[in-house]
Amino acid sequence: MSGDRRRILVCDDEPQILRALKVILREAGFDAVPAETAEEALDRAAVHPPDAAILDLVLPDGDGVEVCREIRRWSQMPIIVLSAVGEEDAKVRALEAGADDYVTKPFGARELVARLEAALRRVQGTTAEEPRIVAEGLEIDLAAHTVRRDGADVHLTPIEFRLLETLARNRGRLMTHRALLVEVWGPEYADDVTVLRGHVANLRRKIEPADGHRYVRTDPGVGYRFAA
Amino acid sequence: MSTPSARREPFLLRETRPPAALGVAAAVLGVAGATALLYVLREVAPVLSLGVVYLLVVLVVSAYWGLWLGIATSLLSALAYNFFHIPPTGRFSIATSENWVGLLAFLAVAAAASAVAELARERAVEATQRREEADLAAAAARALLGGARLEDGLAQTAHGIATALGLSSAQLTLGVVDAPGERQATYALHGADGATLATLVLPAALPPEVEARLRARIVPALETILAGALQRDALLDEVVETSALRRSDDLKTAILRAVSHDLRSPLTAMITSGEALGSAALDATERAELSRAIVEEGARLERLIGKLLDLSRLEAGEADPRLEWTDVGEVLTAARDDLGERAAGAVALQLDRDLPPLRADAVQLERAFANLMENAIAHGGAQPVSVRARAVGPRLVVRVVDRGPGIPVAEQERIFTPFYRGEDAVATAAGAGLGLAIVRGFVEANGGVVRVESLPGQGTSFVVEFPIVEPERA
Repeated sequence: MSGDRRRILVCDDEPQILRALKVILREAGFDAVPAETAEEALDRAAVHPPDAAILDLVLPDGDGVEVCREIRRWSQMPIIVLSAVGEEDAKVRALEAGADDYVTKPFGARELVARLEAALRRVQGTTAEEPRIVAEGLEIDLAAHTVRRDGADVHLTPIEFRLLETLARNRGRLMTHRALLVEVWGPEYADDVTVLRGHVANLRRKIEPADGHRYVRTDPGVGYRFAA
Repeated sequence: MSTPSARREPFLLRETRPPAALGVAAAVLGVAGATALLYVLREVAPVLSLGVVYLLVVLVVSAYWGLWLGIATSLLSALAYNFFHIPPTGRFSIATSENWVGLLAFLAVAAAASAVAELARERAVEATQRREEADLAAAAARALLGGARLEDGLAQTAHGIATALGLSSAQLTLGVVDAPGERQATYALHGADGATLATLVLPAALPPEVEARLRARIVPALETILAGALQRDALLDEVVETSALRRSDDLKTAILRAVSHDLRSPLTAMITSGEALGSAALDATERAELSRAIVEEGARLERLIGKLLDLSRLEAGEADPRLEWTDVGEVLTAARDDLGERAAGAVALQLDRDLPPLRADAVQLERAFANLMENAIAHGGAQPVSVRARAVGPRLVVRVVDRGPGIPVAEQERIFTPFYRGEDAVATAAGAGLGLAIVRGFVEANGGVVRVESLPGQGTSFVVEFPIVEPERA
């Protein structure tokens, strides 16, 4: 980084929201590239590719999901979608089309900026293959296939280890049910959410502290993320 | 009861006897004939064995006219046989035991034949009654179970009972009839649980056999059918209620969906603008824009909440207008003011002088016209909206006209449905599709009608009409 401010494409059909986001992003050290329609967003992204994109799911000339899919054809930039409660289907479709995360309206500026920075960090870190993941007392040795919590060995079944490994490698990122099922069990299990729930429950019993879920967080109706 | 006369009946099983005079004649002629016949037959057979010819006459008369005429025929036959054919002929004398045996045989045949025929007649009467009762039950079932309204079926069934029993009147009423009229008797129809389902009111002092038929067979059949009909009605009510509940569930789901997007957008703008106002590096223009955004979005939210409340009142049927004398010009001006600065420049009001007052709820009309104006501004393609009010004959007509793209004919009725958005509104994600449903609800609640006149490409005119009521006469 040569001191250049990172550019964030922001697409929402409400000019009031665009104007406010511009100020909020500037405050957080970013430059906002505003767009009010899907077409404008794709044009702006193509002309001068931004570092990340924030897209509203409901746009006057189309669907934010389509914009995600178009951008993913040529770029791995982090994409965060804005959606409303009750639009779980649309969230899942956006995530499957390549979005990295979503924020539910009405959102706070701090939450949006935190999600954006986490997504940007992930993009920078993806190339380095970590042999060991350490998070708040939990050590996952990816080479040796061992897990320790607060220094004590935790025995996981091979499936549980694969599940934890997949979540931890995408640390902070929301993984949809389908993405986890395909990655850990294979494409033929893509819709078997019950199997996933059962194994997540077993995994949590073994690694989570008694007072709540610290490592594996649930996004109801959408998926799980390794949140430590 | 459809073709009773066409039914073929066995001759012997006729319900009623032939006239008695005919019986006497038949007996006399029969005995005379038999006596004459014996003169011929005496030539070929011994006269003492020819008494059987009289038996035929006794048999026929007993069967058709009963025991007494049968006994009379037996005696007459015995006398005629004795007088004309048994030696010594020409006088009455029963000298030998054969004659007594002959008389007894005639009497026995008379008794047996009349008894058998009487039994057959009774069966015939009973069969006819049963058939009438079955017909009555079938007609009652058709009337009570097949018809749309139970009340009509009750009247039809009562008429059927009166006809079948030959009564002057019959009345069937749901529930208990406490005080029947003079010279009337009531028969309660009970359900399986003993409750009185209905009451049959008939003339008092029925013949005992009619009363017996009624109690033994007609009332129980009616009770069963009526219980079925009432149960069917209860189930139908339940179905209607269930589908109403489902419709209201659909509406709630639609409201939640609309709320999800349409309430959250202004909220998001308010929250993000508020947070942006906390930023240290803001110039004066930005600060002014952000604070204006919060106020405007708050007002937008307020309008939307107002619409949702209006619609839920209309849907719940709780929008009874408070009717008072209302000046339409004032209502239209207030409606435009409700929409804020934006509408002041966009809506031109043209109010005729001396507009008659309306008998209407001013608040509801204001809501209706504010929604119409907001709709016209939103779809008017940034062109001015004109609102014109004038009296046309017996009606007061308000036209809200925009110069937007117009509404395709196929959509012109659907736009009044809650949560329906026109094609262009879907594209621009504007509005929750509530406004026109509210307009129609409030206009109709106040005795008016609203319709749309539009040609694609030539703008849209919403026409609201109210009947003019003369204050003196109201």
